[in-house]
Amino acid sequence: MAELTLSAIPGFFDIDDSAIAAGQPLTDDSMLKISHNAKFGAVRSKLIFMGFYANGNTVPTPIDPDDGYAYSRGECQFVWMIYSNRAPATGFVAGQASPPGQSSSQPGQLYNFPGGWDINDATGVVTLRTTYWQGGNEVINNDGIVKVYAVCLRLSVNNAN
Amino acid sequence: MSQLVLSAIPGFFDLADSAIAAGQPLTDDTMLKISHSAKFGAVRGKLIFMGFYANGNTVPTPVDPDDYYTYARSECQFVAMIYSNRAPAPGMVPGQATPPPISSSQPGPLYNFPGGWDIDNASGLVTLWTSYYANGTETVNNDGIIKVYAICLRWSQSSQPAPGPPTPTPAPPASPTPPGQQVAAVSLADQDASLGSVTSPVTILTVAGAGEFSIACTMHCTVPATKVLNSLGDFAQASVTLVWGASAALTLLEPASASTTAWANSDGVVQDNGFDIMFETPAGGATIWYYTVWTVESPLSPGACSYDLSIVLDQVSPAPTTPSTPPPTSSTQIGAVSLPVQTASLGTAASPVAIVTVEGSGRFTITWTLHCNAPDSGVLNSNGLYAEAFVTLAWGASAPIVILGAGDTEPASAWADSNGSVWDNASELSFGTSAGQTTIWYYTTWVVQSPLAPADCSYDLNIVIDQISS
Repeated sequence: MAELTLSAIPGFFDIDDSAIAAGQPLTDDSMLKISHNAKFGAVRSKLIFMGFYANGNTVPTPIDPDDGYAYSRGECQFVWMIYSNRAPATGFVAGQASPPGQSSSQPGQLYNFPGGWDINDATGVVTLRTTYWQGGNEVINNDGIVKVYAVCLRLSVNNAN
Repeated sequence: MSQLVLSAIPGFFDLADSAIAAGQPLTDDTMLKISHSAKFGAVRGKLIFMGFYANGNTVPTPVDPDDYYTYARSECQFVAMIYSNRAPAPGMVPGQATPPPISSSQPGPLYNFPGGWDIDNASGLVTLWTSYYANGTETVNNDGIIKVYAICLRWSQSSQPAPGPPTPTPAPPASPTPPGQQVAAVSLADQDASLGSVTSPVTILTVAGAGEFSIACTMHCTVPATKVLNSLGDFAQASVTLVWGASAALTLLEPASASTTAWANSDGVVQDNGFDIMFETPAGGATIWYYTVWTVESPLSPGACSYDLSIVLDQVSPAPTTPSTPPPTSSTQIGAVSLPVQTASLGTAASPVAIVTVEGSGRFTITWTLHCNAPDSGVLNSNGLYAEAFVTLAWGASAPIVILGAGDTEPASAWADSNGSVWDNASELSFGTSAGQTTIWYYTTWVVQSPLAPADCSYDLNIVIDQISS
């Protein structure tokens, strides 16, 4: 399937019903607004893969492949899946698309996991806290790898943290 | 980026192609329908952040910021990410936008996790089931915190029916229980009614004095595999919940739940359940009791369903001698903190504030109250919620202490917000010390969210430590 391609970024117009009421001339302005609204509806909301991330990384905002629209932070909310409780292995690049290698060891049996895992939608900062049980003690670190998607909604201001 | 704003909620019209065919007049009716459908397409589907939730909370339906459309339950499906396996610390408000504080402890290493985590789309009810494995026993509770989003789709019937109960993985065989002498037992087969009640439980045994015991329970339900469905479209089931307890505070020798549930359904699925718990009775003795709650979903025939229950109570040994157990006669206040109108944190985890130092073994109570003050100004924090000021009290001891009866050393929180809401906190618990010196300490953490003025907010702290016996 080919990628949808728009030659320009469509806008949205809250066209008043009175503009296209009976007895009114149907103008090119009204038709263009309706056309843009239809296009806007087609591209407004989508899920965009952002790659793999670890603690302390910042998930950037995506560019829409349909029309090159650059999303703002307020238009993005990040959902993620746990890829691993372990830290990435050497060579990991934040946002890489392929599943990264992971550390070959961990301090002990999982204990508090996740111990406070979140992506701050306002900044994109990834915070991972993981704890292990080792020799009768809780060992705390920032291990973990998440696979991240951006749920994007144009012309919106999310209220997430 | 600005927020899309519509002056009215758009509708959708399945306009026939014939209405805009060649040779037909293009009417205002047709144009309006095209316009509305285009708007509808722009706002129909979206993800809306709902906040952080814990077990038992209900996620509400959202209101769309575009045009203030109020979504029906059937138009919402909830997705959740696991923020933590642990329970929230005191002060969490269901749906709060910021990551909540997390309990500072858990019963043991994770075992069955997640052990049946779900949000019922039909009701918004959050069910979290987590288990830990320590000392050869699986401890099941409802720990957990999730970050929730609603996937909204207007004009849809997308909700799933309510799920059946979670089905945790059965625990592996428990490590051998210390040898003991059976002192009481309940063995009941083919029961088809609840036994006892919360106000009138069934006595298993009355223990005269201090001692160390184990209580082991197994339950099994029987339901005909007729595949009949309940009102939610799931296989109808019968379940039995056993609750046990005592007339006086017991000292659990490991974290444990006071109830457990077994069930079976009309699809032939059977979930047995049980527990094996060690505890100590107090010097004054206690009556150990239980009751069951038996439920059979329609259209199952109650007469065709039943459950088996087995409870065995063993006495393992006399109770340990720490702390010393002479019955309390009177209490003496040995330490107190009374601090009104505080506007800063007191002490730190690394450098806490000492309340009192005691010598040798003894039995004590610690009582505290927390109260916050914030101006009722209605100001909002950066997440659009009423700004709040909150204080967390942590306390502990320089040497190991034994918590007696119910309670723990979890930090406690209190808060007040700019909407006039106030959440006080107060508690009392008993503990015992061993030989040597033991210093009881505390520290507080005080947070005032912007734009509240720190000088306008404060908290009151009172701590009293009484010695009950030496």
